[in-house]
Amino acid sequence: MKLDNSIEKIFETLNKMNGKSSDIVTRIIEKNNKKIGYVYLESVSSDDKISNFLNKAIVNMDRKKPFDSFYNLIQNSIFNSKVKSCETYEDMYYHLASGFTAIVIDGCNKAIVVETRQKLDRGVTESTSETITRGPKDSFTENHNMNLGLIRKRIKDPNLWYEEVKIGRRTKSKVTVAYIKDIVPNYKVKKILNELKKIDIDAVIDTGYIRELLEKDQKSVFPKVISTERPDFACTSLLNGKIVILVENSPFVIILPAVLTDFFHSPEDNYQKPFNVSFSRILRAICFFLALLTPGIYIALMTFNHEIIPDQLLISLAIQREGVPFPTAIEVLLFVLTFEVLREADIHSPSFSGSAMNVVGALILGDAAVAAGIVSPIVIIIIAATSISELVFYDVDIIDAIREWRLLFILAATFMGLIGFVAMFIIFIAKLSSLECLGTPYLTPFSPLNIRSLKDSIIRFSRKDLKNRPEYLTNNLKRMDDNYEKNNS
Amino acid sequence: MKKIILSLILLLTLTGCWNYNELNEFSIVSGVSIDKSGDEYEMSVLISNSPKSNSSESNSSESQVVVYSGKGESIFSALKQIGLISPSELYFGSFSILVISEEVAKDGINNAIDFFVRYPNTRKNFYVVLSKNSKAKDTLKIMTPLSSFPSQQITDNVKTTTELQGIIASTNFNDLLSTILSNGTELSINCIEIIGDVKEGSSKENIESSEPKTYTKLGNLGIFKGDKLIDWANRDESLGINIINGATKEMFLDIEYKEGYVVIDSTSFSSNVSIELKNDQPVVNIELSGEARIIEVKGDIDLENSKVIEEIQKKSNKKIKKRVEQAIELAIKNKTDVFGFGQMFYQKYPKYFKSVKDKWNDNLDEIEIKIKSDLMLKNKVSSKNSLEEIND
Repeated sequence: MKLDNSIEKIFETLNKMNGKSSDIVTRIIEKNNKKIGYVYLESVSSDDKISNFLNKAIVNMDRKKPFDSFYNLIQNSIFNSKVKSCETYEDMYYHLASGFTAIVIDGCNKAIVVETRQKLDRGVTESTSETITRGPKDSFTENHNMNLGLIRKRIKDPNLWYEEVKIGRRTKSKVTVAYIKDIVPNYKVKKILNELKKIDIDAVIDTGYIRELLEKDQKSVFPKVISTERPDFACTSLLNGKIVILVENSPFVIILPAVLTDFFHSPEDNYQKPFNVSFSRILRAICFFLALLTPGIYIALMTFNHEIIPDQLLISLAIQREGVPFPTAIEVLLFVLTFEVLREADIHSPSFSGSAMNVVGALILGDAAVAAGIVSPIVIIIIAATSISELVFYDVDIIDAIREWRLLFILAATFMGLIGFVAMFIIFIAKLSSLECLGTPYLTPFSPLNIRSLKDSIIRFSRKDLKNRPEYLTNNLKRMDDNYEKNNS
Repeated sequence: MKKIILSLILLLTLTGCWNYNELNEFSIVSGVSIDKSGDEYEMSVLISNSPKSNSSESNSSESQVVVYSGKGESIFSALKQIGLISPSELYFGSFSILVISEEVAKDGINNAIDFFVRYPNTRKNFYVVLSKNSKAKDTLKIMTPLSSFPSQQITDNVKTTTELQGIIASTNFNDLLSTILSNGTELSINCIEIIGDVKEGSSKENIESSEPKTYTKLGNLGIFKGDKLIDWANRDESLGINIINGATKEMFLDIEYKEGYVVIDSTSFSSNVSIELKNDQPVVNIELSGEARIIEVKGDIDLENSKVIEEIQKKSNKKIKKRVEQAIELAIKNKTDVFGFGQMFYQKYPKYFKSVKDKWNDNLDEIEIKIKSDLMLKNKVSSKNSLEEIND
């Protein structure tokens, strides 16, 4: 809808549009028979930046060309704010909601918008979801520009491109696709932008929305994009040839494409000695399988395939199970469930109730349950090992995926013992192999095997050996000169 | 996807938990013994996950054992008798020792072996020992402080002493089976003896005492002809048999020298038996080799003198040779080829062996046996001469 000519009419329409919301402020200044009005939403902008200025500026306004002269005046005297003109109500309201002040001049059907944003976000703080011992500590915030800045200040290459899309009929959130032009193949960016432009939804509150809408195969529980709050990790990914998507008002960005081994990595891996990193990654890989398979194997062995258990252990296990009233599978499920409840409660509870939870979890559920003969000690050990193993991962999504597949393994083992368990494992591998994100198979670099990319998957080679970027991500491979070492020695 | 899920659910329900068994619904058998009482077999099983041991106060992983026995005309009917006593199903998947009593062995062990071959729920790698001078059942009862239950004690004992002493050769069921099924090899199995009183040994005091009054001890080889036990070898003969069979890797010998003696210890002993036919006459070459060191010296022996060392070496080789000869004499006396020479001829000269097969055991003395012992004495001792002498 085009703007009207008179100030009063404009204000009236605006008020009608948002139902006279309490935070809309409209003022009209009259001086020397010249009349201008300004409007802002006091909840998102601060007026003190501009009202003083307007009072003075109105005097110098040219009566013949009021709009142009005033626009130039503002343009030339206010340097630290964005100044734009707009002609429709929708555009004007978008700017008002973004923290702009709109100036309307009597007789013009255009408005000038000046940025008078109020700071509504916290500053850059330490990351809380991905804490590390060494490396940069800053994290993304809810401020979109600040997030872009946190990346830009790390990569000063002009090839770092930001492409912005506005998504959300009501929220009109900015979604920025960041990539490095000469590393990322163009078709991938195009594909993502196309997908993003197709999205038609009324609101995008967090990156979670975008992620869900981008993922086509909703049936897979395994995450195909990485979420992170760490700008340093986002930058590393960008430089490896991945694409980062940032969403306004969300401190989490998503990185894609992701492969399974990415979740065995931690942001810290780049800042520590390669040997130690390899060790941790192998540990995480072991933990992955431990968390996934242990309860299933336990049930299969305890209820079907006793002959595999060594003699001494068999007797010890049999004695421990003596007097437990439930079948092994129920016993395990009961405690898997108990742990999940504890975890769920722990994540969302404020810290003051944490100690109470520890007492309930550790003492009552663990110790007392064994003493009461509801559960055998070995099951507690199995569940504890499983649960601890799953917590080594940084990404919540992979933990959830493990959790769900673990249940499937438990079911298979409960009904068919080791045979069912192995069958389920085959299904598991088949499922993983069928996943892909932006044309990258999920099990890369193991399947399809890419030996050169293996150097930074489970085992990280030293930086001198990692002269190339991963082949499955980019064609622009050179990260370092091939002769780097020769030239230096 | 829906079809897959549907078929999975169908699969799961169709299996109906086939083969499902909770572990604590079993009585886990960890040792079995077979005795003879009158005309009947008496089978005893040692059950090691006795429920009464699971009191919340004591260490729950420690077990108390129960021995159940049953009698029957066949071994299976004896087993079924045990089933009437035992509160839960017997689990034979992990038992580690089978004790066969002397009487049963003298009557023939084929019955027992046949049972274990056919009985589907057993693992075939348990050890087999004979019980000498006592009921086989009793050996399962002797509690010892160092092992959590008796069968464990015997199994560990068999396993470790095989490696450390020449006279014990562990026989597991698979070996035993292949020996019985082979052409021209006879069995030799170690025995186990109870030292002390059985009643005391099966009580709890025996565990609590620091010097158990009753214990089990591994002993010499019993030699078989066919499936029947016919004789016991003494210590020297046992050693000889094991040397020829290649079961001896480590051994010691005491050699009288002048007024004192020297003990030599070999940790890398090996034997090589080869056969040939010379003018249709069987010849067996036994070559023994290895290294030994002096481990104990008594008397006035000058170890720095290389001639003395040489002499000791000669004497020890002679002694080894003698042990082997003794073993062969025993075999000839009992007319049983415990060394498996027949098997070797069968493999190399099948036609020849076929012609002599029936009388092989009877004509053992016709085989020409050449023994060559080549033990090297390495003079690596911390003190060259005996301490007595140094003090002078």
